Amino acid sequence: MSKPVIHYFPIRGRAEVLRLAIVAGGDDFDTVDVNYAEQKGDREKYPFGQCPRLVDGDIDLVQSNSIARYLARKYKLEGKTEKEMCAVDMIMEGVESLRVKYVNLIYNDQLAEAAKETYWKTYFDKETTTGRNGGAHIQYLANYLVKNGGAFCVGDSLTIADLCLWEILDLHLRIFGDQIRETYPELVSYHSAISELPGIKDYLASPKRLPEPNANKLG
Amino acid sequence: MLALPSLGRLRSGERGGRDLLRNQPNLLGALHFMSLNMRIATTVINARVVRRAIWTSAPAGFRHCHSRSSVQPAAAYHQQSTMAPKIIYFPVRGRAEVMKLAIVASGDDFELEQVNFQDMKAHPELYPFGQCPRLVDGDNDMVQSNAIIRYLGRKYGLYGKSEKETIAVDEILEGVESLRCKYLTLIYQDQLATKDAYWTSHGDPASVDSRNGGAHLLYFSRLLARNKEAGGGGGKAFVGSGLTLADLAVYDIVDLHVRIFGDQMQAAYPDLLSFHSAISELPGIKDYLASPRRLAAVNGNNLG
Repeated sequence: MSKPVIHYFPIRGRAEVLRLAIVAGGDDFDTVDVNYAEQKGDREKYPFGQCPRLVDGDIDLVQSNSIARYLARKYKLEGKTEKEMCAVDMIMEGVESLRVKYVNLIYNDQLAEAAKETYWKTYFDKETTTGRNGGAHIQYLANYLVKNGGAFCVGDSLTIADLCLWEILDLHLRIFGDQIRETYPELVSYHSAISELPGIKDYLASPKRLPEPNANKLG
Repeated sequence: MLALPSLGRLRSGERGGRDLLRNQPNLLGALHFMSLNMRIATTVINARVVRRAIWTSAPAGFRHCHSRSSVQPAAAYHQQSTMAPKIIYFPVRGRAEVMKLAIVASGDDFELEQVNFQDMKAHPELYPFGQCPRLVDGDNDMVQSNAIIRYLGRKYGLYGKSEKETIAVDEILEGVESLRCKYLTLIYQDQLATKDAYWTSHGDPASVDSRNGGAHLLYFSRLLARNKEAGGGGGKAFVGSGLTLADLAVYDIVDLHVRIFGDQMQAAYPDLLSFHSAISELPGIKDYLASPRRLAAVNGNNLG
């Protein structure tokens, strides 16, 4: 059986959750650096002019969150009941809201000090959960985890929601490590525990875990 | 003796419940029919027809005090309303429109309840991200419009008939979301001041290969053509040959853009406008669009 192939830029970016889903499912993947001309020119393969793109047998798709859902179905990471699937979807949307803010901090604000401070205050500070934040606040995501017992966000086993939460946490630990360790110790324990899971642990230690999260080398 | 309607959920296109009601000679007949086992009645009645009959016979003072589009007007309806999914949102179309279309296209009905920012922030257990819409359907209570839409897609069979179709639906939902985010910036941040630049980036076919964050109307035009060539839908369906969430999401985003860029849309996207018309004519959707339940207010700031 051929391995799924991820076509993307040579960074973690929006492909990282997909890689985690594949390895958590006990599988392996190949990576191809996306051909930018093809990405912009080939309307069949890149219907929105964007990557990542996943090719898996005769399945060929784009849109990171759609690929994540496909992989979740493939590797049984989608939730076991309708309620669990709904919770997984809600958490994925909540992570996406925060990811959009993160991407803005990295690419538009370029991690300027003032921007970082505002960012922490708006999206991480425990005092601001009732503020205007476009649905983006780490506490909202932590609440799901805590209410569910602390090991997994949904149900009693790993889902794609955990991989999304793990990954967004991982990105923020690189920038706000000390503050997160102080303010959200439960999330830090969770991050460590998920890192130790079979498949994920080996992947994180391997050269397939690319060094750069972002294209501009920030974060 | 009234004939009982058959059990089972109406699918898009079925008119059994509605025709049954129209056969009742008068409002009394309709109310008598409603007093039967509500659980049976709920699955087939087009509630809107009966609700309108009750509304117009309600005292004028009652009608004056309550918005037609947001409050259940009749006590007789309260029992039935616990069976229909309930959407809790601001009193605008906004991010609740696609889910309403999913419900009515499937022959079902919805209840609507208003919420404001303070309510949401005060109840984090109900609004875990401090946002609405929220959907309550039986013992499912959820937020996040794109999660709600997918839930309804599974419930009503609007999520594609195979893995490949489900993937295609998901891709298009994400593409619509990208464009919706740009649209929302145009409306709420730019307050329509940047219309021309917006059309250049996200509408004008000539600019499709420029940087647009995956948000451009031409992508949908191409996807519609691609599905047509593959033998599905004849220009009326984005995935396979039946109605899916993808169709409803594209319908809504096209609808929003036509309101602002009508002339440009006519010139550049007659295919999307034809598609839009075809969806508007579907049973369930057609009635909904003509009803007061289709709110006049599109966005919270009355622009667009």
